[in-house]
Amino acid sequence: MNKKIILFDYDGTVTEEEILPKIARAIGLEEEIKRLTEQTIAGDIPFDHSFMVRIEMLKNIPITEVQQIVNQVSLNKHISLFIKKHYQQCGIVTGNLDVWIQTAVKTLKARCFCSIAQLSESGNLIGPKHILRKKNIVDDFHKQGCFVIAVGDGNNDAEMIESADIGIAYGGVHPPAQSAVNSAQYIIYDDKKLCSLIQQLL
Amino acid sequence: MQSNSTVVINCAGMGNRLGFGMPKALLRFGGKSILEWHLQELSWHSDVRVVVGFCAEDVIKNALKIRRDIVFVTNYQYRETGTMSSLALGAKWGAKTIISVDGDLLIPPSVLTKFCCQRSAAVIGITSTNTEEGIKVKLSQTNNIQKVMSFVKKGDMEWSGLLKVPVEFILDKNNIARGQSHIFQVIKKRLPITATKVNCFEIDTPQDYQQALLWAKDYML
Repeated sequence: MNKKIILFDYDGTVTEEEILPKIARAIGLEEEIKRLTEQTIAGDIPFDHSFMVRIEMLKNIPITEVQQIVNQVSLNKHISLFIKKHYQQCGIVTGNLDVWIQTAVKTLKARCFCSIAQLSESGNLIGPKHILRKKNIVDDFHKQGCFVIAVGDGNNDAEMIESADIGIAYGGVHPPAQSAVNSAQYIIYDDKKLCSLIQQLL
Repeated sequence: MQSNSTVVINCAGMGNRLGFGMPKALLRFGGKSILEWHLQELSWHSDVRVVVGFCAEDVIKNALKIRRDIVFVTNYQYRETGTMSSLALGAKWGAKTIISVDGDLLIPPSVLTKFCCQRSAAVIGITSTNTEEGIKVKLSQTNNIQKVMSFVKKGDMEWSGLLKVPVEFILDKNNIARGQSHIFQVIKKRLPITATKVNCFEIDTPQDYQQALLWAKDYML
């Protein structure tokens, strides 16, 4: 039987709160980031462009300061336990930059697929070297002959959910985006039920 | 702990014959939708799936009023597919026993629980015929056990829309549905199956709905 891989979005799926607003609050850019997020969700701004604007807003904040804030974001107890238990079959798929997210994700033991930062010689953030496209991760696993289960909640998860063999739209922190719901075979709002469904799928 | 059975509530259809432009599961009796009645009655069951399609968002919002630990299964091809497709999607990756409940079926409290707890591995819920619509059944009785022998065009009893069967009646070993159109067309190959009488009311047409309002006063409220 093909190896089964479970890919989890991070923000709002594994985490119990959205990372970006938390960073924005900590550095006093809450209104600006909120406006940008709303425009992105509404589809007024494409995700890639929104991502670039976000990095512009945050790049002058020391990387260690952003890392500290991200490390303090609480993780869903049941989902993170599930991932740790099945880490060899799990992957975290997030558009966040590696320099911000990797320390936090390491605690889950699973592989992390994320956007890659371009750093200056002195280690400051210049911008993104590579913006992750979540669907590509699914495609790569398919090329390896894997059966892919994908879980996410946002607009930028819709492609990943649609391309997976089983796509799950999850409404943990907030209701899943309509595009994620339209692409999914399953829609779930409870963390324990999510874990038990994935267990049934394995 | 994994449940011994999976309940699949079929709510994907458009209810064209009723013509209200809404899923029949959202019809209200005694201040609650049919779906709310089902979910409240099934609060003891740990693996409840609701198949959604037409007006999925409304059905989901209604269901979440009662419980959040539901697995919503999408059937966005509801216009082109029949009840069998919805049931098969709901049954996939579920338990070894599947309990199918139609979303347009009014069932008094405790009747649904009693059906779910039937001991037989395969049971068809039957009810008295109240309209010309419906899948009629031919019955036989041996040693106090009634069985559905065949589905027929005319009769005093009909299939209620309640079904409890091993999952292999619905899906083959590759998890593929054993049919695409209507559940009874797949189940008829497995007859005879134990029958149990259930008091319930299926709503298909505007006339059914008017009768259901009166029936509900006696049995639901």
